[in-house]
Amino acid sequence: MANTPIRNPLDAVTFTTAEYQPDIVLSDVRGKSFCQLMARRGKADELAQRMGISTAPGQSTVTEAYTALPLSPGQWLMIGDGGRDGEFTQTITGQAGDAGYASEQSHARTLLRIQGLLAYDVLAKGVRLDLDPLHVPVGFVAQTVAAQVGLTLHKVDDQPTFDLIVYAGFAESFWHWLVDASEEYTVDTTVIDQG
Amino acid sequence: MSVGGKRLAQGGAIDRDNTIDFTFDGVSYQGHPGDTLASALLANGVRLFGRSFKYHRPRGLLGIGFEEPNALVELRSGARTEANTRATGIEIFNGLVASSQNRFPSLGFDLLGVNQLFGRFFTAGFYYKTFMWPAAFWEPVYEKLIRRAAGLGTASRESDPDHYEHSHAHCDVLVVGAGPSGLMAALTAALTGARVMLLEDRAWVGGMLALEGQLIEGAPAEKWVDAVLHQLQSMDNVRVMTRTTAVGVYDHNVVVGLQRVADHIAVPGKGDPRQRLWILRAKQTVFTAGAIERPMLFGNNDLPGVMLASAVRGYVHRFGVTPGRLITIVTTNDDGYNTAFALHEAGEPVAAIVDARASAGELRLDPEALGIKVHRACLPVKAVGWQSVKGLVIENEQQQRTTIDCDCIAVSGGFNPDVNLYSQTGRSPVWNEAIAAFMPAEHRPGSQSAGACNGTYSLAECLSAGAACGAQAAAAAGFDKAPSGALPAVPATDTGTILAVWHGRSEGKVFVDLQNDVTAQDVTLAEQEGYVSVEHTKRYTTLGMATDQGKTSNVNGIAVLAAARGEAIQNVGTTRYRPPTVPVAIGAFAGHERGKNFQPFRKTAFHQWNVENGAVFVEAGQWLRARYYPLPGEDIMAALKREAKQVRESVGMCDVSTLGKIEIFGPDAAEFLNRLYINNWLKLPVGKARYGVMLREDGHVYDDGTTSRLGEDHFFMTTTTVNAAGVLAHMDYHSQVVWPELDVVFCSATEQWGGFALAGPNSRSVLQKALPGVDVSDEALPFMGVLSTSVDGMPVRIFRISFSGELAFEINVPWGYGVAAWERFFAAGEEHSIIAYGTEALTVLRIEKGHAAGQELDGRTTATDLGLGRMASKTKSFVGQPMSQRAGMIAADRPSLVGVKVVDSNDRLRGGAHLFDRADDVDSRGSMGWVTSVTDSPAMGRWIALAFLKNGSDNIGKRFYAHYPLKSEVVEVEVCSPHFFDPDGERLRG
Repeated sequence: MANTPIRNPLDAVTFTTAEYQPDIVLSDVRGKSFCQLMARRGKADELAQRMGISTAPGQSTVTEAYTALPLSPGQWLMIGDGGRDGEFTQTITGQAGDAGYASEQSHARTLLRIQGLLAYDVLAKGVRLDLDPLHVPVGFVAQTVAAQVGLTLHKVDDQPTFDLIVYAGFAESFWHWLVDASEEYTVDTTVIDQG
Repeated sequence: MSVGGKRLAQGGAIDRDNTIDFTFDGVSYQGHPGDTLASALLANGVRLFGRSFKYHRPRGLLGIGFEEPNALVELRSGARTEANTRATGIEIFNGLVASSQNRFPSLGFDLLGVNQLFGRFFTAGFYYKTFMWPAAFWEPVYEKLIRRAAGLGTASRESDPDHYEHSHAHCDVLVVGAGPSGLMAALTAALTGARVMLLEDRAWVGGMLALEGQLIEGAPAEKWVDAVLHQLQSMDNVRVMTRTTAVGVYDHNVVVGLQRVADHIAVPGKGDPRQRLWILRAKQTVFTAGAIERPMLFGNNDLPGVMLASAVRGYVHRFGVTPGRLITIVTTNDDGYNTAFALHEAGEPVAAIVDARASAGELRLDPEALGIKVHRACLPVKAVGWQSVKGLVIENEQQQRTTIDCDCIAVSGGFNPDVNLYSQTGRSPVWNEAIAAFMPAEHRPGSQSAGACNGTYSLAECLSAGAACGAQAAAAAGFDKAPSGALPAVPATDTGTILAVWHGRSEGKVFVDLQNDVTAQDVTLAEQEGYVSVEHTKRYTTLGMATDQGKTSNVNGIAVLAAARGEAIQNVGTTRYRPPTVPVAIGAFAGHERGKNFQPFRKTAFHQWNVENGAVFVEAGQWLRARYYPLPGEDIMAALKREAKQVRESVGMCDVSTLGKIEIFGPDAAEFLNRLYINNWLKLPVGKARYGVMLREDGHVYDDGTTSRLGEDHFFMTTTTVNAAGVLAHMDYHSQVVWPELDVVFCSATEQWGGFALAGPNSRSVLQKALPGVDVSDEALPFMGVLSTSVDGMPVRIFRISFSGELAFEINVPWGYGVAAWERFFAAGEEHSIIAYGTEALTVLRIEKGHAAGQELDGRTTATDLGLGRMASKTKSFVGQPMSQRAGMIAADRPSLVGVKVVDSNDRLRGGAHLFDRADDVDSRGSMGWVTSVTDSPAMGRWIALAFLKNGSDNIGKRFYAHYPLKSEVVEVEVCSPHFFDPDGERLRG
């Protein structure tokens, strides 16, 4: 019975709504569960098969139960719902059986989201990758760096929506960079609570 | 006769219906939208733009683009002041304030103009020759003198209020320069479907087509330019970027472009950067940067009124301004005639054309039929005038002299292809006799040049070369759709011949480099003094240095040097061009990473509590760590002593979230740890923690920390804060490369868990109160025990470990519960007057206990040096074990960890002091050791320190002297065990 309040890394941030239709919407997506799923030696394919995860590099797998973002061969960042006190990780651990292990990361990661056509221009201020829609399909995942902060980038849809997952300690610093980079456009900053 | 420039009655791409007010040197002027500062000042009759660098000679405008060496002005005022901006590149806006540089008290009357009289002393290498001796004067006298005389303009001392940013972009074909070749290359490549970026330094495209009256498809060329621009801008796969200069080319076709987003307006719009530095990654690059006209060498060739012929033509055509009332053209080639024709067509008189050649090529018009006098086979000797041109003395082959009255001399010594970017790719330009210029040879794969920057000057050839390069580049990038359609029709032209004329029969001062006041005589002198290499001549004379990097001076300088060496120009060669091609503000390089954004910050799970409770923070890497929590009126020393004392006497809490945390899983996890750490891990029971030490491969200590066994195949490692990422990488390397057979996986959990130490004799009582119902007795949770539990839905991990030497627990909770957990424990400790302690008190406590930390784990110490040698297993191998047995690593007299304490309790110790066995005469004696960590110990009542000392333990009880020469301090100390406080560890087991 969780009755101890959970703080969020962006608790000290003020969120604002633009006067006009925003070009960019930046969101702090709260309440998701995370774990890092790691295949045991030689069992990457077995684990992927068991979990129903694609082994294609740089491509996410989205199911009703979770979103899996590849981090390295045989390792995925799993995002889901159902509790941030280890419940999601336990479920994944159970499904992985003896093919892999899952490390609880629900509090370690913060999911920030950027939406809007101008997201490409905002991200280009820090992300060195070629995110041209001609080259980067929906589901594209990369581990990269922006504003000196390591992030896992996931293209969720063609709107476009990009999820940017950073370590919790860097979240506020990275958020400030995102807001600064969006400053020349009309921008909304919001909280999406999915807990 | 009136002299100077004026606005013509018609013509030019300016908006004559609107005016713009601006000031130059405090005088108000008006211009039109579309004007540059240079064109607007010319239109107002201004001839004097600045004073020269060394001789303070009056200088006017030479060019029309980024090649301008003279007209450097200080722009704007206050915090936005910007020195050394080229008047030719500044688009005027209402309220623009500009002022001239390098003059005192005024531009018209400059006291330092007296330097001209001493010109014969200011020769090449003046500084090297003059400021030689006495050496004692180098820093205190000469440096100050040189610094005062050096440099152009003044920078603002205020912080720049604007922001700058970086942006990244990728394309298949990058075209640099939007003249006819560039437009054609971009269009051809774009039509294949390739992603194309086209960069243009100016605010408008067209290159020379926008500066002279050429015809394409029978219509003024601007129509074609507009149509192509419109077509490019309508294509999704094309990005045209004006006001953007390619400033550098790097490996893998990375090109850096500087975009002047808001230089043309007074203040950037909301959220807009002033400038943006683009990092462009292209599969193929096409350089179409054009060519820069070459000045000619004759006496007084720096007088205001001496200009490049193409620039004169450009001011007439683009801006509807003539730079003079009576203009003489001096040329070595046919292009100079086009300036005469442009003036004639604008209804302006031409004093004469002076052609170095006996005859011209096939010209568009017959100058003599237009009534223009042509002096053939004549060379300029000197310009006449004091503050500006009043005439030109020329000489024919019979050495007969003629003086031509004029107020402007338009010179054309030929054209230099802009090979700057090509040279930056690491290739050397080669001399081409036919065009008398250096041009690109073989390009680096992935790049090519087209048009004037490749030595191709006729419009028809530029268009076809642009199209060919665009198609080739697209094909090489994987877009091989063949181009269709014909090239635009242009009149056939013959670019004619050029007679390369260098240092002719001139009289007086002949300037090669206007920006640096380098004369032809300086270059010749440098050669005589042995500076025969072009790179040496450059450094010795300053030829080609500073903001213009010799754009108009290098080739003339090389030619003069070649003549002095008696060699061909190709044997002298060019200097290597380096980025940036044009000056770039430091702000643009810094981008967003400035001030508080210099590096990201990282906050701990308890940050908000720390802020609200008055913590003073210290940056530990990127982490913001609570350093101490001062009470009102307390300084750092008082606070850290109070905090340390309270931990020893009762209880305190310290944020240790920054420690690296790594979760390790797998059947071979224990074996993995056993190979990483020097001590044994196979038999660590579940529910217990152990202190471990890791070595680097070379046998020195790398990191330490406690690692706990949470399950048979599940461990939880902690590392030092500083090595958190490094240890993870170290483990990755060994898992993937060295021991791929081990069935083990791991990942960072640093930010999953917020951690705090609960330390002090009352810590168990606080723990019990905070976690009612959990058995935290010594039996249930012994020293080095680990307990996982939960309270009110909050998972809690308790590790009974101690850094302070007190009875202590390290509490971990998931990050988001951090503040709630802290508040819960802090409230539970209220009855014991619990305090929060920071990293300073943490350091006091660990020094008193003799625990090594960063200052001791400095990459040079072995486990034995640190007193941890006995931990190393003799029955297994581990990383660093073989190398740790080298003779030097196990030498008996290696400095080892000891404690030292001051003998006189009034003395203080300093980190970095060296230890000697006597108080005096230490210079000739080797140091016997050094002090690493110091503290004014509340427990010991005096300054104590950890130190490394030769034959450390043999010296315990002996007196030494700690020398600190930076403050001339010598302090007598006694060597002791590093375990100052509670050496038997009774308290932490209590």
